Amino acid sequence: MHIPDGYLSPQTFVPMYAVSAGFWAVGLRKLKAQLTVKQVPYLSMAAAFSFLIMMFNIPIPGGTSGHAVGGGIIAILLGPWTAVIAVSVVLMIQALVFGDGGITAYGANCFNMAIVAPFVTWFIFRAVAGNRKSGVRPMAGAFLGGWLGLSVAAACAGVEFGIQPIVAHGPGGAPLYAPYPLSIALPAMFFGHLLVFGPFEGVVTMLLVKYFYSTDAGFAAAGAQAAGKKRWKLWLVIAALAALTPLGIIIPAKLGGGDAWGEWGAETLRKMLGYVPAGFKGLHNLWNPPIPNYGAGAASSGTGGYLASGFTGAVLAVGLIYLLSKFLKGGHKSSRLSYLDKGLSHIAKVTKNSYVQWELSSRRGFLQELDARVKVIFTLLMLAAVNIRKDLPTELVIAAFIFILALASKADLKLIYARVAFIGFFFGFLIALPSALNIITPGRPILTLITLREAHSFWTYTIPREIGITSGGLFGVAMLTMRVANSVSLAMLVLFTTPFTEIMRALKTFRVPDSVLAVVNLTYKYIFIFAKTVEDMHLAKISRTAGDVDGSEARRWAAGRMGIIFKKTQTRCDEIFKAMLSRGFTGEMRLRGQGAMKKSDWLALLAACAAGITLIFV
Amino acid sequence: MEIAVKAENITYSYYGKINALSGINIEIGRGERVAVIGSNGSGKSTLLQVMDGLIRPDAGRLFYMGREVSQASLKDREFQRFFRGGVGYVFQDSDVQLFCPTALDEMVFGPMQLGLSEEESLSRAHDVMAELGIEGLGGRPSYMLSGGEKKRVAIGSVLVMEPEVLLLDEPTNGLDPKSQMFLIELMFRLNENGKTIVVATHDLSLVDELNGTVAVLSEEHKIEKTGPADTVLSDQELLLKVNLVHEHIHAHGDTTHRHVHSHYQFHRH
Ligand SMILES: Nc1ncnc2c1ncn2[C@@H]1O[C@H](COP(=O)(O)OP(=O)(O)OP(=O)(O)O)[C@@H](O)[C@H]1O
Ligand SMILES: [Mg+2]
Repeated sequence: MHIPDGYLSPQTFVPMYAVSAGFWAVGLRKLKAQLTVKQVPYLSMAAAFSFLIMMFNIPIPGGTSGHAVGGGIIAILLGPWTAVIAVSVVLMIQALVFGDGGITAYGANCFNMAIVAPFVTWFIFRAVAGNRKSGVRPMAGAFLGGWLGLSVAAACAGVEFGIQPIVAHGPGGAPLYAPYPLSIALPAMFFGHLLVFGPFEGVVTMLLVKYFYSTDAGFAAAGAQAAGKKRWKLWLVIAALAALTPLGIIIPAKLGGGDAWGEWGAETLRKMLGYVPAGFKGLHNLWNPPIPNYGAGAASSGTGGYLASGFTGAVLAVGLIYLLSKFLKGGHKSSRLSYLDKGLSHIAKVTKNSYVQWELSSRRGFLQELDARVKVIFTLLMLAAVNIRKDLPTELVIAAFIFILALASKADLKLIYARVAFIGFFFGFLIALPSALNIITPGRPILTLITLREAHSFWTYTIPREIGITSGGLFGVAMLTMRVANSVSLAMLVLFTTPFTEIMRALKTFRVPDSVLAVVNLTYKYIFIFAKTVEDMHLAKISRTAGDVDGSEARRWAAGRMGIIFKKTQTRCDEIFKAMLSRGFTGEMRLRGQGAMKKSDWLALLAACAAGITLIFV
Repeated sequence: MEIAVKAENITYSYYGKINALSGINIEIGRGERVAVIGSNGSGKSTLLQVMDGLIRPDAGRLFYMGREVSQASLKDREFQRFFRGGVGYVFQDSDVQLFCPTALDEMVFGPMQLGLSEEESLSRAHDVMAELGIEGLGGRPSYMLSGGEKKRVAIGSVLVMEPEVLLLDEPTNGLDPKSQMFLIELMFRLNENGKTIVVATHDLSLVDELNGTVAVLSEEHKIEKTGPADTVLSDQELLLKVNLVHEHIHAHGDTTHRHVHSHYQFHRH
């Protein structure tokens, strides 16, 4: 039932977009108002389910094929407006990624499958089942609802097809878009679904209602929250469904089911009609999806590609729904503020802990024994090597070297590398990623992602026809990621094996002015005080509030507290400044220097210099 | 007797609104033991901070060893060193006072700012730490010390500067009885060596123990009375007036009677 591009005239698809947009707006508003955190997994599960169930093509032997939509059961369990959003998201993925359903026809497809089908199913189910939670009536309602919901949706699609020759035809009366008149299109769509695909949808809907109503009678009413304990089981079902998707092409192939009605390609149309409608020609190649036809078209990997597409699509659906819910819920003022509040005290805690950890970096190990001055020189040399050299092997050697040092120093590998991975990913990989594309780094793509119909160029930019990843770009990404990762792991390793004071003193020996060190020292202290103030106040709040605080109160707390925290920190820092003055501080801090280096320190210094020079120049 | 610190008509208010000191006159002789007493919020800490030149009074003048302490005179390096080296201040809140990475750094901070060499500072630091019984804490950061240990480090960080006048704000707060005794003995020892000791407190037993001159701050932030410890401590009416003792009303049999209750009298040994 996915109408491709080229079948609907602008006179039809524009109004269809408008109608659907109205439903999306209401749906999103309702979702925003009603969605709870607990429902998000169910919502994404519903989308994944809908995506997968549509991949199970059911053949009419010797004729066409079709599939269920799953919108009805979502409407029954989670409400019709939820179904509107979930199925629309699925249809968007199908259109953009897999080329199933057109871009121009997206509004119409949403109207049929994401709006008509769920609402019809929901009305019928309500009418038949009433308030019953068990017995025959919910079952019957579900079956009838699913069946008729899909059939009515198909009839809508039939009408959309059928009016094309009337609303848009060429000078000689030749149809510009879908060629068949209402008298053919409507029965073809409607009866196919009423007799075969609709009953299938009905059965699926009924079985699921039976499952959810028997496992938990309160499920539907409670908005799917109550079944939380069985969630992993439901995910298993979704995974199993994804694993079974190859059946969706194997069975139709065995039984000789053709293309779905109204979803033929240009070649097939030419064979059927003897010509290709003019409007169709202009629109049908509008979009080149990355994975056309769910990967089933590729001769080499038919079922494999289809299977992979099933998983990909399901994951995309889940991901998109999560993002959407984050976005919708992010708009809520109260939760955002208390989130900020929580985030702040979390950051404070982390800061304080790493401060303490740093001070405690007294685990015996190789680097810990070394004089801080040697470590500072070593770090500078290594950082130079990391950032001057332009080849991957050197970077890898340095990475291995740092790793061995970390091992020898008994450093907390997990801690260091978790942070390295995080920072490397965000400040290396992600930032460099776009430059891997030939849009930014010109070159021949080694992996083509998108093929446009033609190259575009405007002003000084050129978008090549084949957009893809170049080898030069890939190298660049790898280089930057490695550089960031190496720099970070080096810095972390040295920091975690050297107490702050030692570093300060080492810097003093290198003639860093005392005033600079004083500022660094104080900043460091202030950050700690700030972190501690935040944490103390958070604890104080916990100890003073019993149970849950309602939204507006939490907001006031958070807002008021931010101010107080800063004020408190400032007062504290002022006091400390007084304490420093009292002990003779004049603005130029004088710090204690460092003792003499040991023989082993000199040796290590020599080794560090040798290694650094080798890495930079050889 | 030579006057070490002299405050003339000192008035101070926080942000020009919250009154903390009004018209304070006080003279502290060299080698004296002085207790500044008053209830919470009477202005003891503020007075000590004024005496240490940390906050500038709205009105009034401050003299140290006969030389005026003012914004202008504190700009002079020579006087600054003389004054900072001569007056030491132990804060009420040790957390404020400990801003260096480790206890040992804390010890050498003051001497180094005064221009002493590193060796000299370190040797003084070790002497003081031994005297205070905190030799083992040198490498520890301040937040890994107990309240009492912090106090000792804070006191030590001032003592290494070998000040003539030692201002102590609630020094015995939060210390166990043994540490309190230790501290009182320390103050006496320093005093015997000619140091001037000024203690701000509301702990009457400490005042009694110290047995020096007492300046009483009223809740109106004025000096209510100055005199020897035994005279002030026996003046129940005065102590009642400045809220350092409280009245108990309780029943004995069928007659209700009131009597003034001072914890100091109960815990006197
Ligand atoms: N940082 C400040 N900002 C505003 N007002 C302050 C500040 N510090 C003290 N005050 C006010 O100044 C007055 C005197 O305070 P001070 O700290 O000198 O009293 P105190 O005698 O030391 O009291 P305590 O025994 O509680 O330590 C009090 O009324 C207090 O509320
Ligand atoms: Mg005070």
